[in-house]
Amino acid sequence: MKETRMENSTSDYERRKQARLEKLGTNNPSCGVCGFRDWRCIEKHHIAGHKRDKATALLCANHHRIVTDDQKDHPPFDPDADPLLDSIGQFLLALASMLKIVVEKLLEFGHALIDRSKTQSGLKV
Amino acid sequence: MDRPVYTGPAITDFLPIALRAYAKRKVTKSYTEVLAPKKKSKRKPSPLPASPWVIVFDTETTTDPAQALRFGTYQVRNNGELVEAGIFYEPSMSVDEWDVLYCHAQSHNLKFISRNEFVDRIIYGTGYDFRACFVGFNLPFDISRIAIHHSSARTEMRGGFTFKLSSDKRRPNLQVKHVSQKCAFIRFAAPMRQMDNRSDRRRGRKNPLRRGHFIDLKTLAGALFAKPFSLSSLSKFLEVPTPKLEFDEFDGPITDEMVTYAVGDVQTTWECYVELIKRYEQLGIPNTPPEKIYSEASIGKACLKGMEIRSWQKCQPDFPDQIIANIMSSYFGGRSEIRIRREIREVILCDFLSMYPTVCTLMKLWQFVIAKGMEWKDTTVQTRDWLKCIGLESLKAPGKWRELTTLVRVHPKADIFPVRASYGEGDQTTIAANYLSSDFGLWFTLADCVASKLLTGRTPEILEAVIFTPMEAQAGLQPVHISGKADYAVDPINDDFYKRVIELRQGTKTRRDESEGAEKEALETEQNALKIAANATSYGVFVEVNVVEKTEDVDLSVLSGTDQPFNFRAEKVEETGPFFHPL
Repeated sequence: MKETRMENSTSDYERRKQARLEKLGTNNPSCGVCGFRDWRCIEKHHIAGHKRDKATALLCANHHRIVTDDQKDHPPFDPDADPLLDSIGQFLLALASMLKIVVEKLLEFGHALIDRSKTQSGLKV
Repeated sequence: MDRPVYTGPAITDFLPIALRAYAKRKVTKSYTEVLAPKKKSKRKPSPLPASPWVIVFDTETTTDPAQALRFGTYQVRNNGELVEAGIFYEPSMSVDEWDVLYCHAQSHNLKFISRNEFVDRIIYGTGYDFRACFVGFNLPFDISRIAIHHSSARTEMRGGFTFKLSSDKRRPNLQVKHVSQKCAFIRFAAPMRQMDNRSDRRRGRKNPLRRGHFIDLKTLAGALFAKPFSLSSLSKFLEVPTPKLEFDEFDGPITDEMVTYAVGDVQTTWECYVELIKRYEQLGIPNTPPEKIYSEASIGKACLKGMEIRSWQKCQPDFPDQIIANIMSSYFGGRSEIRIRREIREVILCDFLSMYPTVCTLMKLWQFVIAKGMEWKDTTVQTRDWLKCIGLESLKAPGKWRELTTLVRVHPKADIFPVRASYGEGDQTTIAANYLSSDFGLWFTLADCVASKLLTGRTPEILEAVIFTPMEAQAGLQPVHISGKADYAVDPINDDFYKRVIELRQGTKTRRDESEGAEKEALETEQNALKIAANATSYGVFVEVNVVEKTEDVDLSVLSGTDQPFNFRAEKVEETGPFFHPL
């Protein structure tokens, strides 16, 4: 047994952690863009903005900030527009913003893998 | 119709018979209901599975009828690692007994705490706040022993108990509702505090309720192995490293042996839990946590959900209620009763290998399970001819069994049919197969008519016959891997599920008999998983009807196979299960 009684600080940490995981809706949260897994940095992002749609994705704080900032450049809310079509449009734009970062990451990962494969191949020779 | 002269035995009893009716809740809204504002949406329970924290506990009680708490033992684990183990005591115990417990705790490096501290720090401080899983053997009993107050539960848990564990009003009560001798629903009630912060309230968000995670090993083991266990028999069956110790001197004062036994019990419970979870995971059931397994039927339903089969009632909501009532009136689910007790008699043990899956395969019932719905047509003339020609020899042709998805209304005249009546003293009814004569027509399955013909040699008089056929298969069905193994893949569209699973089981049994050691053990577990998958999906889940007690009388529309529909008001309502399909 590592410790005979849980320290108060451990309890408080665990309580915060479990409450946060409950809010995030998963026991294993990770950023949908970069895969970062620390629960303290993961946030729920409303893909089309919380006023338009309830669909959320988990992002790390940095990527949440970037994606939310991109949303500010999307066309503003028009009270005369069809709300359903407007929501779908905003959803697609927001999804594209996220995918743009994912594509950048994929390119980065792809190049990194190719570079690593060259190093590995050199080692074998 | 040509019907031979009645040659059956003389009628000896005139008994009223009981038939199953179909009571449906009336959905007509009154004027006040229409005008009334829409009720607020209910707060939903958290769908999140338990965290890696586990609390195992057990209680020791007095042996008198009160069965009051004497002391208890517990373990707190995180990711399987022991974080804290200890003993908790009832504060009103004698000083001598307290000394025995204290000395044992000191000498074995165990925490020694009062019942109140156990509840506040372990049950709530760790269990509730850390979203831990509570594990025990016969958990409802242990929960009731550590309670300081109890009352009747309300809402969905009506008919059960609400236990107050802590004097801290902010902590939620625990609710326990027994479903059967083997299982109970256990959950935390809603806490008496504001659950949503100001931001959530402003945005209309409701945080989910934390209902807790409770695993009663008695229930889980019963469902996994389809037989009842005590902790002792379970520990032997699972061959855990620390089997339950033998001890039966609970009458006397608390001794060191008693405390050793109680501390060992918690370790045994933990080891059984680990082994049961391992076995459960081998079943490869997706999206169903073990705490939701209450019986073999739960495993069956999880299997059907895994294949993404939608319930028949959702696929075909406009199916006529009267036809459902006719089908339901042909149901004769019996109860085993012992009439001859404590007498030495000669007996013959009879068994039928995989009876339900075999009959389901012969009747091609899987097609109904995966279908978008079912169609029906009158076949009175054809069915009369079919029944006239049927005999033992012709039943050996599998094609004949497909016709058995027919429901018939017959005029019984000394035919041998199952019937529900009060055969003994009192009003209690039960099922018996006996010579039955009736002045009016009764609904039976065509299989019952065949059985009667084979027994009496006479063809029952059919007044009306309706055959049911499946519609096309549902879209989006997914294959499942029984035991999580690719070798045991079952495709719901192209395979007859029951046939495939039974064939896989027979193959696994053959390989098990030829193997030895660990491989034999693994194959035994796999064949058991296949057996559960076949049996649990072949009968019970499709006729699941639960009695629900409402807070006030509700309007019901009662339909039967013999009489005109009538309306009725009752507090108890029958609600069909998620995969209800009467055929």
